[in-house]
Amino acid sequence: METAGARYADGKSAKILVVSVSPAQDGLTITDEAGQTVALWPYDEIRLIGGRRSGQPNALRLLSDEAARLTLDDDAFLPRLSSLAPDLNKDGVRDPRQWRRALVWTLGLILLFGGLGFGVSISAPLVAALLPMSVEEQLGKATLEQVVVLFGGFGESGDKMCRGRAGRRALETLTARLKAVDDSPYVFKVKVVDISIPNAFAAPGGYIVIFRGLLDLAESPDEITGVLGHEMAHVTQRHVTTNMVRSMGFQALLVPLVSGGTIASDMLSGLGQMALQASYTREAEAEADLASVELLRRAGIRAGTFPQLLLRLEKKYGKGGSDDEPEPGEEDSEAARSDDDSFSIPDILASHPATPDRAATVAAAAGTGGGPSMSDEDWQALRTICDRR
Amino acid sequence: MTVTVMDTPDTGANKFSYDGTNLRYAGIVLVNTLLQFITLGIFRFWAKTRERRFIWSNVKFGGDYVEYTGTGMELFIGFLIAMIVLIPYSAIFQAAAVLLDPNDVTTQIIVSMVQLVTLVFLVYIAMYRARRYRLTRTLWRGIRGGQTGSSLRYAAVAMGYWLLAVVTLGLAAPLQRIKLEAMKLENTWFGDRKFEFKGRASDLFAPWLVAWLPYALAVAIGLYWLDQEVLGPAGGLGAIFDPAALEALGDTEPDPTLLLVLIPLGIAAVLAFAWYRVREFRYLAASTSFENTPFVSSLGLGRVIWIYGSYIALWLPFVFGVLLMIGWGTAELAPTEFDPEASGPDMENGTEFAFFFLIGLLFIISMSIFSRVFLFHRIVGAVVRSTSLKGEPDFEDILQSTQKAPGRGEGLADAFDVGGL
Repeated sequence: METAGARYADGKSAKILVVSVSPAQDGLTITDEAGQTVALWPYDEIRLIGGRRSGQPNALRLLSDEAARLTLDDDAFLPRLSSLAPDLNKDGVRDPRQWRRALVWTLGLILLFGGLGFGVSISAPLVAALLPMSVEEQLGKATLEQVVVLFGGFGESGDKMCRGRAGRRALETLTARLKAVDDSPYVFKVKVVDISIPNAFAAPGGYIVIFRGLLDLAESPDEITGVLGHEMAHVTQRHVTTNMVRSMGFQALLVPLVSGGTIASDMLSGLGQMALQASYTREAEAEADLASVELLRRAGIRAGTFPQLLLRLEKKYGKGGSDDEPEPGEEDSEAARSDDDSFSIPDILASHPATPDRAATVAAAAGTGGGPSMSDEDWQALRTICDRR
Repeated sequence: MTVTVMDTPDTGANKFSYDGTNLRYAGIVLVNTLLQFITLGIFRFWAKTRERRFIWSNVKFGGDYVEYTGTGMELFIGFLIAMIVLIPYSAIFQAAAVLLDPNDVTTQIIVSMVQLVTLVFLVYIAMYRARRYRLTRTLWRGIRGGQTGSSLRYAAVAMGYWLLAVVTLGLAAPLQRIKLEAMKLENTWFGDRKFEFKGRASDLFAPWLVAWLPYALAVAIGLYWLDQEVLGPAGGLGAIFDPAALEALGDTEPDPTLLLVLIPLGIAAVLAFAWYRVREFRYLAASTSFENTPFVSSLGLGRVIWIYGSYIALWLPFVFGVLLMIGWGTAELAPTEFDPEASGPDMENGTEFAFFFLIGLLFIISMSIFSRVFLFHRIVGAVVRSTSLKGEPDFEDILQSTQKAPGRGEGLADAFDVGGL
């Protein structure tokens, strides 16, 4: 087919011409209805406009003239044109310079985010240390409420705080004993909550919560003391506060990045953040273990029995393997946990170093010295602290 | 001066037509959704471009199709630049949330208000700039669209009238609409010519009242019910600010019979609102002209209701089916008297968690595709097909735009997820 019908817009005005197009030596000749040649389009500059679906006419554009358009009446001419114009299907927009620019920008973006992310995680401990005590305590109180609610601690029958008087006194005495050998400015507020899951956690500013399940599982008060020391270490070393600062920093970075995406990517960014957290907490847990041993040693308490509690916990609730993937387990974890007893890994194990190794490390550091943390009487009182609410 | 809204449009060369099929569009949206998911959302710039190219290139007027010349790269770069604004903005409010006393209600409210106001302001700016980008990437017969005017001014006017609408409990809403449409349309160009707009808010007040009344009534009844039934024992609505009184309410069960009135009222409100929006659209079209040739739209309420109605009719069984499947899956794993050891979906178990995660994800993805194809796309088609020009401007006279077009697009608008098109 030597000539084809088309509509021609020269890109200078909105006038449309009905033309015929015929291939000449150097390009396409565009002739109007009166036979006048309106334009000559050189073959090497002709591009097909992409994105058209079948059934829609094909439109051609010229590299050297952004706005001129030639819309062919039918597809019959295309094969002929393809043989004449070799670059027909090359989208003129995608020239190498654009791609290079895009690559540079993307690399820049990756570096920027990597750098900012790195900056956030490096500066998080510093920022946490700079927070005034009142702010930390507010954070702590809010976290405490959140987590206790998550575990079903505020039911219709009122809250589940354990208020046995003798038990509370025993706990206060123990806390004071540890506080006496602690150099930090924190005031520790330790509570027991009547939840059957064996767990304990620390919130910023000195709030520590022990679940009744842990008291039930412990066979000696020294084990609980070890836990208390561990949680106190989390407070004094500001692990939870640092985590929060870090996660908020990441959120500030990630939210604009994926905000335009589908809900799926929002979910993913949340999980991504949690995954990022998990790798930091392992170190923190190991630190807290050793700090606990040190604290107990200074207070003259046996530290070697704490590992036994861990092993018992692992046996009862863990998966029994040290090569398990650490679950993302921040203290105020957003993971949906039911409050029944059947969920597998308590926070205290999750994201922790593998338990047998951990037990061995603590046992080695603790040695055999030290005395009991409290009298049998106090221990009994503590065990029954939840009898009165 | 009234503008006749019910004129029948001319046929033929002056009518807009839309050739895009739901099936083809669904294909595009499906690929877009999957790719966006895989790339954690980064693909969205190219996804939007693909969708726009499809929709634009199926719009035909005067024998020629419209063309979209934007690229995903432009949107991507626009987004990068907008981040420079947004990261500090986001960071400041995150920090404020942490550092301020959560128990100090007044400060918390003030901070929230400030955040809301600055956010709305930024959104308006984003919308105006995004519109400019899209217009400059729209070609018809090789001639570009354009938009002049200041996005700051637009945002300021929008905020001002928004506040007015809020203060008048919504009665002043048409005023905001007209002011903003006027600002947009009077700054919209095709080639070297501007559009004209002569709409007036006074023409819309009467229809707006018709739509506003059922809503106002429903809200009033709701508040009355709250005051009498829910908070009555605590002393009425004022108890919202008195935590002690709220505590004392305990578990009293308020009588819901008054709420039954809200059902027919709600339906009436929705229908009235739909009627108003269609009427408003036709009015705006009739008030807009190009080269002294007014537009006209024959969009009918019946068509719109049919689209929404059929969408809901299809959507309900679809959602029901998926929920049934999820329920079945969960029931299979929950403890029963035959299998008391079963403990429900084990969130710690990798495979089970992954399974439910995937089901949930599939559900969300298919819902969004479904609504985009069966609701959004059909509305687009209906609106385009209903529009035409009452007359024929002399297109030969219109020259190519000489305005400088923005080099990249819509960063802010992307971050705020603004604009369905």
